[in-house]
Amino acid sequence: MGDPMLAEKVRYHTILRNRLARGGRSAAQVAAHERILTLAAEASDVMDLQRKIEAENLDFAVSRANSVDTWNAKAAAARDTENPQMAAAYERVAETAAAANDFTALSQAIMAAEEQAKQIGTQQSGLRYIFIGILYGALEYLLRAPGNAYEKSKLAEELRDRLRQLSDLGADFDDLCRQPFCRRHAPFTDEQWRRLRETVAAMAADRPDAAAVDTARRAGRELLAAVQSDWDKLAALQREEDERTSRRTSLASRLSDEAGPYEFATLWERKW
Amino acid sequence: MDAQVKGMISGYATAYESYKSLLDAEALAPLSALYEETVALAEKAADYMAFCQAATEKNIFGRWGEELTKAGEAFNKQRKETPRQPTVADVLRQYRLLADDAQNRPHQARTVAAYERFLTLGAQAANPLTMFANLEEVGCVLALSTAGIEDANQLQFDRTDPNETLHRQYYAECLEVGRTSKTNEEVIFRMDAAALAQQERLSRDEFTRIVLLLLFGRLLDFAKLKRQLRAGLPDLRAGLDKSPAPAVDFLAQCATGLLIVRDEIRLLHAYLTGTLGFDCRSLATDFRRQKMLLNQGQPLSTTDRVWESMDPANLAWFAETLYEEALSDLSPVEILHRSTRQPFQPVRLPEDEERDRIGARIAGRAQEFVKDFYWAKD
Repeated sequence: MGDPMLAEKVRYHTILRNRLARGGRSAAQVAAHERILTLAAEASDVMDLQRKIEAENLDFAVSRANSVDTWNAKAAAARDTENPQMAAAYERVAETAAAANDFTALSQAIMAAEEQAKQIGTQQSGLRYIFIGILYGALEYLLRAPGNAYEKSKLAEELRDRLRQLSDLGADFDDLCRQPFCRRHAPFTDEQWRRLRETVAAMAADRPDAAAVDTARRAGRELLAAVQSDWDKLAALQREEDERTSRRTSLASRLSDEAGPYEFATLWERKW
Repeated sequence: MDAQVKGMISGYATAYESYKSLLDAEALAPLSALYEETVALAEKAADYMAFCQAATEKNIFGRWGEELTKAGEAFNKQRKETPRQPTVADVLRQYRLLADDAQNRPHQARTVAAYERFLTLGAQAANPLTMFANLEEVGCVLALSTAGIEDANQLQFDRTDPNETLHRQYYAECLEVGRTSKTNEEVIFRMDAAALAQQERLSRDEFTRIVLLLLFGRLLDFAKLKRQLRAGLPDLRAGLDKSPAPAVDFLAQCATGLLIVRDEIRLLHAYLTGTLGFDCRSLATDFRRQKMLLNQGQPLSTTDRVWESMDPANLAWFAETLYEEALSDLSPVEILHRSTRQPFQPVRLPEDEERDRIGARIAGRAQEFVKDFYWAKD
């Protein structure tokens, strides 16, 4: 290799190829630089190499490889978080990029494929939003007392609305419970998922527990009867507590760089 | 010129400055005219929204796309007609513009340093090829993009409340990506993976927050019903001579409510402890969860280290009401007769705000607290 500029070109592509190979996520670019190095080994000088590069459109190939590697990296991240639908969408962008033969085709193809991937992402976010709303509602329903028929019915009505929204989008709650893009967003074990699915099914066919409501009402009347003779004492207790009550606003701060207790400063106070 | 507008047009300014050194006067003329029109519009606009509206009306963004394409074509044509190898100075001139742009933006220390190193080492080379080979060899090219990631995430890390461990963990991960990635693709993969993992972490954590807030709400209902019963009993006595039925009904509902809410507190507490693994006694030292309960808003947009809080004594009220009343063995009658050591201290009301302008006072004090920290500056 007599031409010092050719040697310099080889040095440049070798450094770049080695760095990209060490990163482990740039296979297409590594291949493009490898090809340039192969051509360099056959070239008489740097001009000869440039001609060979232009003949094979390798300057474009490097840009295209950059794009292919980018989308494959995004696909790998989606696969790692068990989102095969998103991974497949990104892989399609990478494949579309790999098939392009010039800059215009490359950017147009990427824009179209990217738009499709974005739509899938938006669709998943929308489904997940409704799904998580159902889980919150189911949790609240599960944690309401059987005698609280009014609140339970209200929650059940909201749930039926959300299940309808899912159905309108062609999705199904039980199916989403199995999909990692939803399932990984909640902290439940298999047994807890099973219980939540049962709760949702029970909520959808919500029937007030009339016996529990009657029992609670009876207990309430009994409690009232039990304390009616203590009027003055209870009222005095309440007055004494009210005297120790104020409406207050504080400012909390943590300015140290370590985790730890907040400092509170009361900025405003008014007697209750 | 509005800072946001300046940031928005800085990319166009950089592109224009680059072409200034590459194109002859005739080829540059349309781009110069468009640049001047954009700057004039930016200077005239009162704010970001006004600029966007005026720029959209004049199709400024679309025209930049067209003119930059034409400039690129003109440059390629010029290069073919009068082939001249660019010098190191030619190449570095464009990087100098980007360095100056970074210098003008706040919190860009690593980016500025990366550009300075790039420019210093680059200037020592005899030709652009050697320059890029040398810069690649010492990691200067990759550093131009990773330094920006480090700057942005260091700032976010420092602005974030140290007790907000999930958020800080995420920014620390992103910083690590910037520090240790070897390629842009590695950056993309690790940043995407970190963002997705963060979404999941926050979403899972939200379940504990929601159940904890439901518990807090039920304890408030419990205290309110207890108060209504105690305070309402004399009303009932007074009303017995007049129309007892509504008062009796109301108080019977309060008594029923108190019993139902107590059951629900037990259910919520059992779920928090058993299913979500959260022990409410840990609230005494779990400052992140304390904040979830007390937080009434964030007066500063730059940081969550300072926040408006309800009276912190309400944490003692929370523990007392939970353990010494709702979950205790006391009968409902005994609970009504029990004197609360720490009553709940309510928050301000809208009419308080109107009268005393508390919000403005809070924002002023919050600003005072953070004024000396670098991360508090825009």
